[in-house]
Amino acid sequence: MERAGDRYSRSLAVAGLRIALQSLRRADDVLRSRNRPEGALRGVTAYLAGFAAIRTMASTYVFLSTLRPLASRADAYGLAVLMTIAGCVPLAAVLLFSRSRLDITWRLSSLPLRISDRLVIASLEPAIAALPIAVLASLLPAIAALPVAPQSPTDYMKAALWYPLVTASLALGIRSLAGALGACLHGRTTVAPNHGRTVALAAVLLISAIANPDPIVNEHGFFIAVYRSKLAVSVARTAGLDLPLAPGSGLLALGAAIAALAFAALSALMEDAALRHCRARVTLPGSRSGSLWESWPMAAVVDRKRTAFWSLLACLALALLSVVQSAAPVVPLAVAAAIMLIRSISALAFIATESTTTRRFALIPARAGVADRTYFMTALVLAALVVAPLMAAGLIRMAQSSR
Amino acid sequence: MLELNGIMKGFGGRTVLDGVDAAFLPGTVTAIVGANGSGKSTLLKLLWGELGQDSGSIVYDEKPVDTASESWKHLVGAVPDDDALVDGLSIRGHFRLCGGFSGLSRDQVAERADHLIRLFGLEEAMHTTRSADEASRGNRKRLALALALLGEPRVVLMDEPFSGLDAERAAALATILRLLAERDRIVVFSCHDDGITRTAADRYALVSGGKVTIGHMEQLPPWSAQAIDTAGALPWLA
Repeated sequence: MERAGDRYSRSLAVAGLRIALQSLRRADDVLRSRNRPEGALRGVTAYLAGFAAIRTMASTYVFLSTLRPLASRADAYGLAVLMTIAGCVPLAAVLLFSRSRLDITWRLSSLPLRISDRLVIASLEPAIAALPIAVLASLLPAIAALPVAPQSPTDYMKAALWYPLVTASLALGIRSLAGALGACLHGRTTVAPNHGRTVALAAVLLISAIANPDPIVNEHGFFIAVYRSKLAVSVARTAGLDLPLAPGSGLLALGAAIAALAFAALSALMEDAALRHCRARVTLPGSRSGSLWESWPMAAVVDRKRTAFWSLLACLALALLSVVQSAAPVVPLAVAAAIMLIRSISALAFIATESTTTRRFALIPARAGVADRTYFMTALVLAALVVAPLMAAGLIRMAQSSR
Repeated sequence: MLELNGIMKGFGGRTVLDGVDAAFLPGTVTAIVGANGSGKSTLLKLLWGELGQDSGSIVYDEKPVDTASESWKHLVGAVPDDDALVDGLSIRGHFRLCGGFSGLSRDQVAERADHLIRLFGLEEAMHTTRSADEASRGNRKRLALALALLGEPRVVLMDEPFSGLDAERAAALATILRLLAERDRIVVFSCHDDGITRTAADRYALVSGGKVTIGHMEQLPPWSAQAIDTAGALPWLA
């Protein structure tokens, strides 16, 4: 006879599997969709995460193959610690900025699960949604810690496990706290747009790629080059960053890891409580945000996924980087042209595709095609506004180059 | 009067409307009835210009009309079955978008929108949803109904306007349809609910076998239930 517990465990496993598959299918849908710039953005993000992995592997290979004979044990440990911390940045970014768990909470509420199981699955869901990038990012600390391996395999294991564990716990805790705060402030019960998170993730990975941490050695000792400045590896020890590797710090490191895990768990509980509390709330009249486009409705239609602001921020960041890093003028201009092209094609594809929106356009009592043309022109204007910082950066760089 | 003369419409090799002759009168509410897939929505789409007929003509006030023309769209208020709402646009944004393209002034749009929002009970939905696609099915339907009446339509065409509405709202809509008829509008809607049809309409247009039969509501034959072998149905639930 089948026991109730077995049946319950099976239903829990099936629910978890179903959610994992749905999350992956949704991620796949985004990548396959022809009308969503988010697919391209995710592609860029995956590329940047892959780039970071290759860069870290190359740095480790350079150390192990050529620099290792020149390095003392302290140098190797300091280098490994700093490179591992740098390697944790993409992991933290992925966990912080991957998709919100609001929608999965809704879906879970319809399944026959205990609250604790629901919470576990809900907490893991962001990691499942960003699984390909999360896997790449998780490898980085393990690769970066390799300089310690020839000295002590035990210390290597400590570094390769402790830093990602603490990073992941802190990142999950911070995102849960932010989620709880957001739920209390906005009181939203529907799925929030997450394009801001995707853009922020790409931006952090881009900054990490541009920083390009790289081990170098000269007559003064071992350094890590970050951007164009040098950071002595000995700083890892003096700043106490080598917590799990420092002699006699085992208990302290264990305590720190447990504290980080507890922080993540408590934050998740807080977020869950905030979400459940806010679900019952009714938004008060006049508290709705996002009415920026109210007076220009076609812009609201074009920017229906509310990505323009975040795209503008991303372009602004890239423009600043181009100017600060003295990039070739063609770089920001080429990105601006690509964004214009993608947005134009996306607008044309939208007009050409049958949807409730295009159906409404057809019903509007105006000359045939007027609504479609207005949509396209608005999309172009909006795209021009978004890429304006890049165009300005390109012009500034051209002026600087001609001097 | 809105007349259909010998309207034929087919999809692929299948003829849906086969020489339809019908007339819809001002001051009347006509319910289009018929089985699923009989061609009710196709008939309405032909009338509001979303589809073009293969042959035949549509005549309004004794003049043939091009249903794809701007002038015809000004005369028609249409409610499609899927409501045709715009993704990402707020409820008020819908009024501004449609009113702006219809040639209404900003003040006219604001005034009529306020009136329609009150009439169709959309106040709460306006405050609780950022865009119309976040609204409930009933609220979306009511918004689509309101948009159909934003201009000054002479012909009001609605595909399943009662679906998704609660009993109270359905009764209110029936009253509004009656009011439009009293104001000499041609009101045509499709419906599957026998009770609502008989309450809200005074004429029927039965679509069956590619033909349309029009008559007074009292003459509409009672709908018979689909014959089901109750003994043999759903054996796994026995």
